[in-house]
Amino acid sequence: MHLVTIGKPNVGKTLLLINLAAYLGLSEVRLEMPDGEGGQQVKRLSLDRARRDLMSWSAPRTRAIQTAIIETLVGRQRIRLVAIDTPGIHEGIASHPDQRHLVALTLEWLIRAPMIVHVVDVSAVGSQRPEAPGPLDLALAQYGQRLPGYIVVANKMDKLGSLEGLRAIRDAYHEVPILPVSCITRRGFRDLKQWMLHMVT
Amino acid sequence: MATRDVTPGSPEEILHWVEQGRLAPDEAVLWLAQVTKATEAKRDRTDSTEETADAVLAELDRMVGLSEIKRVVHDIRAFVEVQALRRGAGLQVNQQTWHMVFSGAPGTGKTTVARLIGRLFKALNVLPKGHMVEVERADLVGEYIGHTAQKTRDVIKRALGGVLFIDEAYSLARGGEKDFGKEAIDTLVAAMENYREELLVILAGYPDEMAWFLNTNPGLMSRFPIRLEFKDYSAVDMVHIARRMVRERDYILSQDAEQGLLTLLSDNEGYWHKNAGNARMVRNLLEHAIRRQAVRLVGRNIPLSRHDLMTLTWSDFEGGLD
Repeated sequence: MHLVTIGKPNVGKTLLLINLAAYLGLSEVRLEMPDGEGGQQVKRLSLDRARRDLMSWSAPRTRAIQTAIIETLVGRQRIRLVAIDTPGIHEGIASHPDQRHLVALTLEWLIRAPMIVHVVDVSAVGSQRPEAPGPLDLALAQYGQRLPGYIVVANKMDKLGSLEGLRAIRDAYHEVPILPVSCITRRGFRDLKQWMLHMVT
Repeated sequence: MATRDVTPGSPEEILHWVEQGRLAPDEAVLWLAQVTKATEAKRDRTDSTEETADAVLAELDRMVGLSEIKRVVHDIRAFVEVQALRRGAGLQVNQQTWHMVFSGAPGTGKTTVARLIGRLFKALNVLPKGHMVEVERADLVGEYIGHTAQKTRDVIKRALGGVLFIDEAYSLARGGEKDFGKEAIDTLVAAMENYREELLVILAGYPDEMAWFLNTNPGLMSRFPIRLEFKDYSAVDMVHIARRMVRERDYILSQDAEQGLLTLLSDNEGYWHKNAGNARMVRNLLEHAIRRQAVRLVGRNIPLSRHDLMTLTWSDFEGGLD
Protein backbone atom coordinates (compact mmCIF):
# COMPACT_ATOMS: atom_id res chain seq x y z
CA MET A 1 0.00 0.00 0.00
CA HIS A 2 1.27 3.44 -0.85
CA LEU A 3 1.49 6.34 1.54
CA VAL A 4 2.47 9.77 0.35
CA THR A 5 3.62 12.70 2.47
CA ILE A 6 2.82 16.06 0.97
CA GLY A 7 3.09 19.66 2.06
CA LYS A 8 5.05 22.89 1.91
CA PRO A 9 8.85 22.87 2.05
CA ASN A 10 10.51 22.41 5.42
CA VAL A 11 7.41 21.33 7.33
CA GLY A 12 9.06 18.07 8.37
CA LYS A 13 7.80 15.48 5.94
CA THR A 14 11.01 13.47 5.76
CA LEU A 15 11.70 13.48 9.49
CA LEU A 16 8.13 12.42 10.12
CA LEU A 17 8.66 9.35 7.96
CA ILE A 18 12.02 8.50 9.51
CA ASN A 19 10.72 8.84 13.03
CA LEU A 20 7.61 6.91 12.19
CA ALA A 21 9.79 4.10 10.91
CA ALA A 22 11.71 4.23 14.18
CA TYR A 23 8.48 4.20 16.13
CA LEU A 24 7.33 1.13 14.24
CA GLY A 25 10.47 -0.63 15.38
CA LEU A 26 12.52 -0.47 12.21
CA SER A 27 16.26 -0.02 12.51
CA GLU A 28 16.95 1.05 8.96
CA VAL A 29 15.12 2.49 5.99
CA ARG A 30 15.43 1.25 2.47
CA LEU A 31 15.42 4.17 0.15
CA GLU A 32 14.87 4.18 -3.55
CA MET A 33 15.70 7.37 -5.32
CA PRO A 34 16.48 8.40 -8.84
CA ASP A 35 20.25 8.46 -9.35
CA GLY A 36 20.12 11.30 -11.81
CA GLU A 37 20.83 9.13 -14.83
CA GLY A 38 17.37 7.75 -15.27
CA GLY A 39 17.94 4.74 -13.06
CA GLN A 40 16.98 3.82 -9.53
CA GLN A 41 19.35 3.69 -6.68
CA VAL A 42 18.59 1.63 -3.61
CA LYS A 43 20.21 2.68 -0.37
CA ARG A 44 20.01 1.18 3.06
CA LEU A 45 20.45 3.76 5.76
CA SER A 46 20.42 3.40 9.50
CA LEU A 47 17.88 5.75 10.98
CA ASP A 48 20.52 8.03 12.48
CA ARG A 49 22.31 8.20 9.21
CA ALA A 50 19.01 8.90 7.45
CA ARG A 51 18.27 11.79 9.80
CA ARG A 52 21.68 13.25 9.14
CA ASP A 53 21.65 12.77 5.39
CA LEU A 54 18.09 13.50 4.50
CA MET A 55 17.13 16.53 6.50
CA SER A 56 18.33 19.84 7.74
CA TRP A 57 17.04 22.19 10.40
CA SER A 58 16.80 25.24 8.24
CA ALA A 59 16.62 24.66 4.53
CA PRO A 60 14.38 22.28 2.63
CA ARG A 61 16.46 19.25 1.86
CA THR A 62 14.34 16.81 -0.10
CA ARG A 63 14.85 17.61 -3.74
CA ALA A 64 13.55 14.47 -5.40
CA ILE A 65 10.81 11.99 -4.80
CA GLN A 66 12.16 9.30 -2.51
CA THR A 67 10.58 5.99 -1.76
CA ALA A 68 11.05 4.29 1.58
CA ILE A 69 9.83 0.78 2.12
CA ILE A 70 8.48 0.14 5.58
CA GLU A 71 8.02 -3.50 6.38
CA THR A 72 7.08 -4.59 9.82
CA LEU A 73 5.16 -7.18 11.76
CA VAL A 74 2.28 -5.97 13.84
CA GLY A 75 1.03 -8.89 15.82
CA ARG A 76 0.84 -11.68 13.32
CA GLN A 77 0.15 -9.44 10.40
CA ARG A 78 2.90 -8.42 8.08
CA ILE A 79 2.55 -4.85 7.01
CA ARG A 80 4.20 -3.50 3.93
CA LEU A 81 3.99 0.19 3.27
CA VAL A 82 5.63 2.04 0.47
CA ALA A 83 6.14 5.55 1.74
CA ILE A 84 6.59 8.22 -0.89
CA ASP A 85 8.46 11.24 0.40
CA THR A 86 7.89 14.21 -1.84
CA PRO A 87 9.73 17.51 -2.05
CA GLY A 88 7.85 20.43 -0.53
CA ILE A 89 5.67 22.46 -2.83
CA HIS A 90 6.10 26.24 -2.90
CA GLU A 91 3.14 28.50 -3.49
CA GLY A 92 2.83 29.91 -6.96
CA ILE A 93 4.11 28.77 -10.31
CA ALA A 94 7.75 27.75 -10.14
CA SER A 95 9.96 29.43 -12.66
CA HIS A 96 12.21 26.46 -13.36
CA PRO A 97 10.75 23.65 -15.53
CA ASP A 98 12.47 20.97 -13.43
CA GLN A 99 10.70 22.22 -10.35
CA ARG A 100 7.37 22.29 -12.10
CA HIS A 101 8.00 18.72 -13.19
CA LEU A 102 8.60 17.72 -9.57
CA VAL A 103 5.37 19.42 -8.52
CA ALA A 104 3.50 17.49 -11.20
CA LEU A 105 5.08 14.21 -10.07
CA THR A 106 4.14 14.98 -6.49
CA LEU A 107 0.56 15.75 -7.44
CA GLU A 108 0.42 12.52 -9.38
CA TRP A 109 1.19 10.66 -6.19
CA LEU A 110 -1.51 12.65 -4.48
CA ILE A 111 -3.99 11.12 -6.92
CA ARG A 112 -2.55 7.63 -6.83
CA ALA A 113 -1.72 6.93 -3.20
CA PRO A 114 -4.56 5.57 -1.06
CA MET A 115 -2.99 7.07 2.07
CA ILE A 116 -2.22 10.79 2.04
CA VAL A 117 -0.40 12.40 4.94
CA HIS A 118 -0.62 16.14 4.54
CA VAL A 119 2.00 17.75 6.77
CA VAL A 120 1.47 21.29 8.03
CA ASP A 121 3.78 23.37 10.19
CA VAL A 122 1.37 24.79 12.76
CA SER A 123 4.05 26.82 14.48
CA ALA A 124 4.44 28.90 11.32
CA VAL A 125 0.80 29.91 10.94
CA GLY A 126 0.63 33.57 10.03
CA SER A 127 4.35 33.96 9.45
CA GLN A 128 6.05 34.91 6.20
CA ARG A 129 8.25 31.82 6.13
CA PRO A 130 7.88 29.45 3.17
CA GLU A 131 6.59 26.70 5.45
CA ALA A 132 3.63 28.79 6.65
CA PRO A 133 0.29 27.21 5.73
CA GLY A 134 -1.22 28.91 2.73
CA PRO A 135 -3.65 28.52 -0.16
CA LEU A 136 -2.00 25.26 -1.20
CA ASP A 137 -2.69 23.68 2.18
CA LEU A 138 -6.27 24.88 2.10
CA ALA A 139 -6.68 23.39 -1.38
CA LEU A 140 -5.18 20.08 -0.18
CA ALA A 141 -7.59 19.99 2.75
CA GLN A 142 -10.44 20.49 0.33
CA TYR A 143 -9.08 17.74 -1.87
CA GLY A 144 -8.83 15.40 1.10
CA GLN A 145 -12.29 16.08 2.49
CA ARG A 146 -14.00 13.22 0.75
CA LEU A 147 -11.13 10.73 0.93
CA PRO A 148 -11.01 8.07 3.66
CA GLY A 149 -7.21 7.84 3.51
CA TYR A 150 -6.46 11.51 4.06
CA ILE A 151 -5.09 12.96 7.28
CA VAL A 152 -3.61 16.33 8.23
CA VAL A 153 -0.57 16.07 10.45
CA ALA A 154 -0.21 19.31 12.43
CA ASN A 155 3.54 19.07 12.90
CA LYS A 156 6.00 20.87 15.19
CA MET A 157 3.65 20.90 18.16
CA ASP A 158 6.70 21.29 20.39
CA LYS A 159 7.34 24.79 19.10
CA LEU A 160 6.14 28.05 20.57
CA GLY A 161 2.89 29.33 19.14
CA SER A 162 1.88 25.95 17.80
CA LEU A 163 -1.27 25.78 19.92
CA GLU A 164 -2.66 28.94 18.37
CA GLY A 165 -1.65 27.63 14.98
CA LEU A 166 -3.43 24.35 15.61
CA ARG A 167 -6.58 26.20 16.59
CA ALA A 168 -6.42 28.32 13.43
CA ILE A 169 -5.95 25.22 11.29
CA ARG A 170 -8.86 23.47 12.98
CA ASP A 171 -11.05 26.48 12.23
CA ALA A 172 -9.97 26.73 8.64
CA TYR A 173 -10.04 23.08 7.50
CA HIS A 174 -13.42 21.50 7.69
CA GLU A 175 -14.32 17.86 7.95
CA VAL A 176 -10.81 16.49 7.79
CA PRO A 177 -8.98 14.60 10.54
CA ILE A 178 -6.25 16.75 12.08
CA LEU A 179 -3.61 15.08 14.21
CA PRO A 180 -1.25 17.18 16.35
CA VAL A 181 2.22 15.65 16.14
CA SER A 182 5.73 16.50 17.18
CA CYS A 183 8.65 14.67 15.70
CA ILE A 184 10.81 15.87 18.58
CA THR A 185 8.66 14.81 21.51
CA ARG A 186 6.98 11.94 19.63
CA ARG A 187 3.59 13.32 20.45
CA GLY A 188 0.84 11.88 18.27
CA PHE A 189 2.87 8.97 16.94
CA ARG A 190 0.70 6.42 18.67
CA ASP A 191 -2.38 7.80 16.97
CA LEU A 192 -0.58 7.98 13.66
CA LYS A 193 0.40 4.33 13.95
CA GLN A 194 -3.17 3.41 14.83
CA TRP A 195 -4.44 5.28 11.82
CA MET A 196 -1.97 3.52 9.57
CA LEU A 197 -2.83 0.08 10.88
CA HIS A 198 -6.47 0.90 10.49
CA MET A 199 -5.91 1.89 6.89
CA VAL A 200 -3.83 -1.15 6.08
CA THR A 201 -6.23 -3.71 7.51
CA MET B 1 -4.97 34.31 -16.44
CA ALA B 2 -5.68 33.50 -20.04
CA THR B 3 -6.20 29.83 -19.41
CA ARG B 4 -9.09 30.48 -17.07
CA ASP B 5 -11.86 30.10 -19.60
CA VAL B 6 -10.60 26.69 -20.68
CA THR B 7 -11.12 24.00 -18.06
CA PRO B 8 -8.95 20.91 -17.77
CA GLY B 9 -10.86 17.71 -18.32
CA SER B 10 -8.66 15.01 -16.83
CA PRO B 11 -6.05 14.63 -14.08
CA GLU B 12 -3.41 14.09 -16.76
CA GLU B 13 -4.28 17.40 -18.34
CA ILE B 14 -4.02 19.19 -15.01
CA LEU B 15 -0.58 17.71 -14.34
CA HIS B 16 0.49 18.66 -17.80
CA TRP B 17 -0.59 22.24 -17.19
CA VAL B 18 1.37 22.31 -13.96
CA GLU B 19 4.48 21.26 -15.88
CA GLN B 20 3.88 23.91 -18.47
CA GLY B 21 3.57 26.54 -15.79
CA ARG B 22 -0.04 27.32 -16.56
CA LEU B 23 -1.38 26.35 -13.14
CA ALA B 24 -0.15 27.14 -9.65
CA PRO B 25 -0.04 24.12 -7.30
CA ASP B 26 -3.01 25.23 -5.20
CA GLU B 27 -5.18 25.79 -8.26
CA ALA B 28 -4.11 22.44 -9.62
CA VAL B 29 -5.11 20.67 -6.41
CA LEU B 30 -8.54 22.30 -6.50
CA TRP B 31 -9.02 21.23 -10.09
CA LEU B 32 -7.92 17.72 -9.19
CA ALA B 33 -10.49 17.65 -6.41
CA GLN B 34 -13.20 18.53 -8.91
CA VAL B 35 -12.14 16.19 -11.67
CA THR B 36 -11.50 13.14 -9.49
CA LYS B 37 -14.78 13.67 -7.67
CA ALA B 38 -16.62 13.45 -10.98
CA THR B 39 -14.85 10.26 -12.03
CA GLU B 40 -15.34 8.70 -8.61
CA ALA B 41 -19.06 9.34 -8.70
CA LYS B 42 -19.14 7.55 -12.03
CA ARG B 43 -17.20 4.62 -10.64
CA ASP B 44 -19.43 4.37 -7.57
CA ARG B 45 -22.43 3.83 -9.73
CA THR B 46 -20.85 1.04 -11.71
CA ASP B 47 -19.13 -1.12 -9.12
CA SER B 48 -21.68 -1.72 -6.42
CA THR B 49 -20.88 -5.42 -6.55
CA GLU B 50 -21.10 -6.36 -2.90
CA GLU B 51 -20.44 -9.92 -1.98
CA THR B 52 -23.58 -11.95 -1.35
CA ALA B 53 -24.04 -14.38 1.51
CA ASP B 54 -24.59 -17.16 -1.02
CA ALA B 55 -21.20 -16.55 -2.58
CA VAL B 56 -19.46 -16.73 0.80
CA LEU B 57 -21.30 -19.88 1.79
CA ALA B 58 -20.49 -21.48 -1.55
CA GLU B 59 -16.85 -20.84 -0.83
CA LEU B 60 -17.23 -22.45 2.58
CA ASP B 61 -18.95 -25.44 1.05
CA ARG B 62 -16.05 -25.93 -1.30
CA MET B 63 -13.72 -26.52 1.64
CA VAL B 64 -12.86 -30.17 2.25
CA GLY B 65 -14.53 -31.90 5.21
CA LEU B 66 -15.81 -29.67 8.04
CA SER B 67 -19.38 -30.91 7.55
CA GLU B 68 -20.47 -30.05 11.07
CA ILE B 69 -19.10 -26.53 10.81
CA LYS B 70 -20.73 -25.95 7.45
CA ARG B 71 -24.06 -26.95 8.95
CA VAL B 72 -23.73 -24.55 11.88
CA VAL B 73 -22.72 -21.66 9.63
CA HIS B 74 -25.69 -22.32 7.34
CA ASP B 75 -27.92 -22.31 10.44
CA ILE B 76 -26.48 -18.99 11.55
CA ARG B 77 -27.20 -17.50 8.15
CA ALA B 78 -30.81 -18.71 8.25
CA PHE B 79 -31.26 -17.35 11.76
CA VAL B 80 -29.88 -13.92 10.87
CA GLU B 81 -32.02 -13.62 7.78
CA VAL B 82 -35.20 -14.66 9.56
CA GLN B 83 -34.47 -12.21 12.36
CA ALA B 84 -34.10 -9.45 9.79
CA LEU B 85 -37.44 -10.42 8.25
CA ARG B 86 -39.06 -10.45 11.70
CA ARG B 87 -37.70 -7.00 12.38
CA GLY B 88 -39.21 -5.88 9.09
CA ALA B 89 -42.55 -7.31 10.14
CA GLY B 90 -42.45 -5.47 13.44
CA LEU B 91 -42.03 -8.63 15.51
CA GLN B 92 -39.78 -9.02 18.49
CA VAL B 93 -36.17 -9.77 17.64
CA ASN B 94 -33.85 -12.01 19.63
CA GLN B 95 -30.78 -10.23 20.89
CA GLN B 96 -28.16 -12.71 19.82
CA THR B 97 -24.46 -12.44 20.38
CA TRP B 98 -22.25 -14.20 17.89
CA HIS B 99 -18.95 -14.53 19.70
CA MET B 100 -17.42 -17.90 19.03
CA VAL B 101 -14.93 -20.43 20.27
CA PHE B 102 -13.04 -22.45 17.68
CA SER B 103 -11.30 -25.47 19.08
CA GLY B 104 -9.13 -27.68 16.99
CA ALA B 105 -5.59 -28.65 16.15
CA PRO B 106 -3.46 -26.36 13.99
CA GLY B 107 -4.11 -26.66 10.28
CA THR B 108 -7.75 -27.68 10.59
CA GLY B 109 -9.11 -24.56 8.94
CA LYS B 110 -9.89 -22.30 11.91
CA THR B 111 -8.40 -19.13 10.46
CA THR B 112 -9.88 -19.71 7.04
CA VAL B 113 -13.36 -20.28 8.44
CA ALA B 114 -13.03 -17.21 10.70
CA ARG B 115 -12.23 -15.07 7.65
CA LEU B 116 -15.24 -16.45 5.82
CA ILE B 117 -17.47 -15.74 8.80
CA GLY B 118 -16.33 -12.12 8.80
CA ARG B 119 -17.25 -11.81 5.14
CA LEU B 120 -20.53 -13.63 5.68
CA PHE B 121 -21.54 -11.27 8.47
CA LYS B 122 -20.63 -8.33 6.31
CA ALA B 123 -22.86 -9.70 3.54
CA LEU B 124 -25.66 -10.22 6.07
CA ASN B 125 -25.24 -6.68 7.44
CA VAL B 126 -24.39 -7.95 10.92
CA LEU B 127 -20.91 -6.40 10.79
CA PRO B 128 -20.15 -3.16 9.00
CA LYS B 129 -16.74 -4.12 7.61
CA GLY B 130 -16.14 -7.82 8.02
CA HIS B 131 -12.33 -7.70 8.01
CA MET B 132 -10.32 -9.87 10.36
CA VAL B 133 -7.59 -8.94 12.79
CA GLU B 134 -5.58 -11.94 13.90
CA VAL B 135 -3.73 -11.66 17.19
CA GLU B 136 -2.15 -13.77 19.90
CA ARG B 137 -1.25 -13.28 23.52
CA ALA B 138 1.78 -11.09 22.85
CA ASP B 139 -0.35 -8.56 20.99
CA LEU B 140 -2.73 -8.13 23.89
CA VAL B 141 -0.63 -8.46 27.01
CA GLY B 142 1.74 -5.69 28.03
CA GLU B 143 4.78 -5.52 30.22
CA TYR B 144 3.71 -3.30 33.06
CA ILE B 145 0.57 -2.33 34.90
CA GLY B 146 -1.83 -0.44 32.66
CA HIS B 147 0.02 -1.34 29.50
CA THR B 148 -2.16 -4.37 28.82
CA ALA B 149 -5.47 -2.52 28.82
CA GLN B 150 -3.98 0.00 26.42
CA LYS B 151 -2.62 -2.64 24.08
CA THR B 152 -5.83 -4.63 24.11
CA ARG B 153 -7.90 -1.54 23.43
CA ASP B 154 -5.69 -0.65 20.48
CA VAL B 155 -6.21 -4.09 19.00
CA ILE B 156 -9.95 -3.87 19.58
CA LYS B 157 -10.07 -0.50 17.89
CA ARG B 158 -8.46 -2.01 14.81
CA ALA B 159 -10.90 -4.90 14.82
CA LEU B 160 -14.03 -2.77 15.18
CA GLY B 161 -16.49 -3.49 12.42
CA GLY B 162 -15.00 -6.92 11.84
CA VAL B 163 -13.67 -10.03 13.48
CA LEU B 164 -11.09 -10.19 16.25
CA PHE B 165 -9.46 -13.60 16.05
CA ILE B 166 -7.42 -14.54 19.10
CA ASP B 167 -5.26 -17.55 18.43
CA GLU B 168 -4.25 -19.75 21.33
CA ALA B 169 -6.54 -17.71 23.52
CA TYR B 170 -6.09 -20.06 26.49
CA SER B 171 -2.62 -18.63 26.99
CA LEU B 172 -4.30 -15.49 28.36
CA ALA B 173 -5.20 -17.43 31.48
CA ARG B 174 -2.01 -19.43 31.72
CA GLY B 175 -0.11 -17.20 34.07
CA GLY B 176 -2.57 -17.38 36.94
CA GLU B 177 -4.17 -14.59 38.96
CA LYS B 178 -1.31 -12.11 38.90
CA ASP B 179 -0.65 -12.41 35.20
CA PHE B 180 -1.59 -9.48 32.97
CA GLY B 181 -3.52 -11.89 30.77
CA LYS B 182 -6.40 -11.48 33.19
CA GLU B 183 -6.45 -7.76 32.48
CA ALA B 184 -6.60 -8.47 28.75
CA ILE B 185 -9.60 -10.74 29.25
CA ASP B 186 -11.37 -8.11 31.36
CA THR B 187 -10.74 -5.39 28.80
CA LEU B 188 -11.95 -7.67 26.07
CA VAL B 189 -15.15 -8.56 27.88
CA ALA B 190 -15.85 -4.88 28.55
CA ALA B 191 -15.32 -4.04 24.88
CA MET B 192 -17.62 -6.85 23.83
CA GLU B 193 -20.37 -5.23 25.87
CA ASN B 194 -19.61 -1.73 24.61
CA TYR B 195 -19.36 -2.57 20.95
CA ARG B 196 -22.09 -5.16 20.81
CA GLU B 197 -23.01 -4.43 17.22
CA GLU B 198 -19.56 -3.82 15.85
CA LEU B 199 -17.31 -6.57 17.06
CA LEU B 200 -17.21 -10.32 16.72
CA VAL B 201 -14.66 -12.08 18.88
CA ILE B 202 -13.43 -15.56 18.03
CA LEU B 203 -11.25 -17.42 20.51
CA ALA B 204 -9.26 -20.24 19.00
CA GLY B 205 -6.94 -22.94 20.26
CA TYR B 206 -6.34 -26.60 20.94
CA PRO B 207 -9.49 -28.41 22.15
CA ASP B 208 -8.18 -29.49 25.56
CA GLU B 209 -6.66 -26.15 26.44
CA MET B 210 -9.72 -24.23 25.28
CA ALA B 211 -12.02 -26.41 27.39
CA TRP B 212 -9.83 -25.73 30.41
CA PHE B 213 -9.73 -22.01 29.60
CA LEU B 214 -13.50 -21.68 29.45
CA ASN B 215 -13.93 -23.71 32.61
CA THR B 216 -11.57 -21.53 34.59
CA ASN B 217 -13.36 -18.38 33.39
CA PRO B 218 -17.06 -19.06 33.90
CA GLY B 219 -17.94 -15.53 32.82
CA LEU B 220 -16.58 -16.27 29.39
CA MET B 221 -18.70 -19.36 28.82
CA SER B 222 -21.93 -17.42 28.60
CA ARG B 223 -20.42 -14.73 26.43
CA PHE B 224 -19.27 -17.15 23.77
CA PRO B 225 -22.42 -19.06 22.94
CA ILE B 226 -21.21 -20.60 19.70
CA ARG B 227 -18.65 -23.40 19.91
CA LEU B 228 -17.26 -24.92 16.79
CA GLU B 229 -15.11 -27.99 16.94
CA PHE B 230 -12.63 -28.46 14.13
CA LYS B 231 -12.00 -32.15 13.87
CA ASP B 232 -8.81 -33.55 12.49
CA TYR B 233 -9.12 -34.36 8.83
CA SER B 234 -9.53 -37.98 7.89
CA ALA B 235 -7.04 -39.61 5.55
CA VAL B 236 -9.54 -39.40 2.68
CA ASP B 237 -10.10 -35.69 3.32
CA MET B 238 -6.40 -35.10 3.34
CA VAL B 239 -5.95 -36.78 -0.01
CA HIS B 240 -8.73 -34.50 -1.28
CA ILE B 241 -6.85 -31.53 0.07
CA ALA B 242 -3.66 -32.76 -1.54
CA ARG B 243 -5.38 -33.17 -4.87
CA ARG B 244 -6.73 -29.64 -4.69
CA MET B 245 -3.41 -28.18 -3.64
CA VAL B 246 -1.52 -29.80 -6.52
CA ARG B 247 -4.15 -28.63 -8.97
CA GLU B 248 -3.71 -25.06 -7.78
CA ARG B 249 0.00 -25.35 -8.48
CA ASP B 250 -0.44 -26.91 -11.95
CA TYR B 251 0.63 -30.38 -10.91
CA ILE B 252 -1.19 -33.67 -10.92
CA LEU B 253 -0.86 -36.74 -8.73
CA SER B 254 -0.15 -40.01 -10.46
CA GLN B 255 -2.34 -42.91 -9.46
CA ASP B 256 0.33 -44.63 -7.41
CA ALA B 257 1.05 -41.35 -5.64
CA GLU B 258 -2.57 -40.96 -4.62
CA GLN B 259 -2.78 -44.56 -3.47
CA GLY B 260 0.49 -44.27 -1.60
CA LEU B 261 -0.57 -41.06 0.09
CA LEU B 262 -3.84 -42.60 1.20
CA THR B 263 -2.10 -45.61 2.74
CA LEU B 264 0.53 -43.44 4.36
CA LEU B 265 -2.04 -41.08 5.81
CA SER B 266 -4.42 -43.79 7.04
CA ASP B 267 -1.56 -45.72 8.63
CA ASN B 268 -0.59 -42.65 10.56
CA GLU B 269 -4.10 -41.43 11.34
CA GLY B 270 -4.42 -40.15 14.88
CA TYR B 271 -0.72 -40.47 15.34
CA TRP B 272 0.93 -37.31 14.13
CA HIS B 273 -2.10 -35.04 13.99
CA LYS B 274 -1.76 -33.79 17.52
CA ASN B 275 1.44 -31.93 16.80
CA ALA B 276 2.16 -31.84 13.11
CA GLY B 277 -0.94 -30.03 11.92
CA ASN B 278 -3.23 -31.37 9.30
CA ALA B 279 -3.58 -29.37 6.12
CA ARG B 280 -0.19 -27.87 6.83
CA MET B 281 1.23 -31.38 6.98
CA VAL B 282 -0.15 -32.09 3.53
CA ARG B 283 1.38 -28.90 2.23
CA ASN B 284 4.79 -29.80 3.60
CA LEU B 285 4.56 -33.21 2.02
CA LEU B 286 3.69 -31.64 -1.31
CA GLU B 287 6.43 -29.09 -1.20
CA HIS B 288 8.91 -31.82 -0.48
CA ALA B 289 7.55 -33.88 -3.37
CA ILE B 290 7.75 -30.96 -5.76
CA ARG B 291 11.41 -30.50 -4.96
CA ARG B 292 12.09 -34.22 -5.34
CA GLN B 293 10.28 -34.26 -8.67
CA ALA B 294 12.55 -31.51 -9.93
CA VAL B 295 15.63 -33.50 -8.94
CA ARG B 296 14.24 -36.62 -10.59
CA LEU B 297 13.48 -34.79 -13.84
CA VAL B 298 16.78 -32.98 -14.08
CA GLY B 299 18.59 -36.31 -13.79
CA ARG B 300 16.89 -37.63 -16.89
CA ASN B 301 18.49 -36.99 -20.23
CA ILE B 302 15.46 -37.33 -22.49
CA PRO B 303 13.25 -34.37 -23.44
CA LEU B 304 10.48 -33.75 -20.93
CA SER B 305 6.85 -33.56 -21.95
CA ARG B 306 4.27 -31.33 -20.35
CA HIS B 307 2.85 -34.40 -18.65
CA ASP B 308 6.23 -35.26 -17.14
CA LEU B 309 6.57 -31.77 -15.79
CA MET B 310 3.19 -31.92 -14.13
CA THR B 311 3.12 -35.39 -12.64
CA LEU B 312 4.12 -36.17 -9.08
CA THR B 313 4.72 -39.87 -8.56
CA TRP B 314 4.88 -41.84 -5.36
CA SER B 315 8.65 -41.97 -5.52
CA ASP B 316 8.63 -38.18 -5.09
CA PHE B 317 6.66 -38.48 -1.89
CA GLU B 318 8.53 -41.34 -0.29
CA GLY B 319 10.64 -40.35 2.63
CA GLY B 320 9.04 -36.92 2.78
CA LEU B 321 7.65 -37.37 6.22
CA ASP B 322 10.75 -37.06 8.30
